[in-house]
Amino acid sequence: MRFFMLAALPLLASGVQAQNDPAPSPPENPPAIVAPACCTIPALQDVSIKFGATVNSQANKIGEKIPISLAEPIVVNGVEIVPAGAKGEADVVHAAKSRFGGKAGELIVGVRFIEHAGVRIPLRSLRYSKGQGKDNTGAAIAVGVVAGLASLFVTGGEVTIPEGTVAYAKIARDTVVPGHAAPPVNAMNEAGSVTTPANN
Amino acid sequence: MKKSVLAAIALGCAAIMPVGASLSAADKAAEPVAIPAPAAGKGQVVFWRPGGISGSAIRCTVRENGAMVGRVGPGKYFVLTAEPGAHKFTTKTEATDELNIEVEPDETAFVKCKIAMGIMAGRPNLSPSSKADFDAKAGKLKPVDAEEMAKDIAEDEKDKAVATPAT
Repeated sequence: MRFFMLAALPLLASGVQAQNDPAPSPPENPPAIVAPACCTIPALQDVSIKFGATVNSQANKIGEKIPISLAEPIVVNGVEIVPAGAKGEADVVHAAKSRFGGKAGELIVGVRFIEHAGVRIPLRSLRYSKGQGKDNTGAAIAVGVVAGLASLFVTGGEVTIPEGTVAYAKIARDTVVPGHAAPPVNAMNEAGSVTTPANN
Repeated sequence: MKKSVLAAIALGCAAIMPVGASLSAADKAAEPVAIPAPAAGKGQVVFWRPGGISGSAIRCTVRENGAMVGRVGPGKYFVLTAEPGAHKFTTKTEATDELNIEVEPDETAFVKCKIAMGIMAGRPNLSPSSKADFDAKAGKLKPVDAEEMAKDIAEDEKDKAVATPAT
């Protein structure tokens, strides 16, 4: 929605100018419309998510879906693109209960997406600590003892990730999210990106 | 008074500690193993095994879809380049253990192999691990000899070809 509003504003401005000038002929090849930077969530941006259900290495099975939600809004260039609370999904990648002989329970959870305005925003690299870049490779989530990987995994006894646990993930790829309001016109003037005609 | 007595005892203990030995142990623990980043767009998995005498005669043979990808003895590690996505690794002696992981592009995953006690032979266990876990033991870990491992993999493939001849 915002995409269309922003695209329409320059057209409106040029329409007002046209009252004074002779009508220009329409361009044969109009320039391609590029999605504004505010609507695109860049790949690898950190997001914080919250588990909507308890996950346990004994009780849960591989492939089970786990509800998650956005713990903090996704903000790009100072504009909130996705509000906190947006729902999403994780799933159990690996689950093995503890066994006789000292084998600890194991649990790996992968995050899949957060959904907003009909768009599934793909996620990856679930972990406890915030951060980006190669320094964090292999730094995943630890509940109990461990950390690691693109997922949340844990060992040590029977592993439980309690409902409400907050963790971090990354946006898997550049994702355009429509449907949020455009910033106020005044703000846009200050930014110098759009001009409005003066009332004489 | 009490504090000064405790401090004196602590200083005394420090004085009789084998300083050289404690320093070298600390240095070893602090030495990280530099695992190079995976090739662009690829992921990688570090399989490692802590040292120790438990199951030391058994090497942990790691397979994916039946094919051997590596073998790790006590106090060793190897790095496997992997396509991003889901992977299921298995290891087997008298019992089979499997681990499902997801490899992310441009990231490194860590998997630990431990040998637990079994009836006839040790039971290997593949479990999720972390860089922090690996780094904590890194001073005592050495890479698997790449040539030796390549030879092991070639022999394993040969054995499998003999066991299942083409029809």
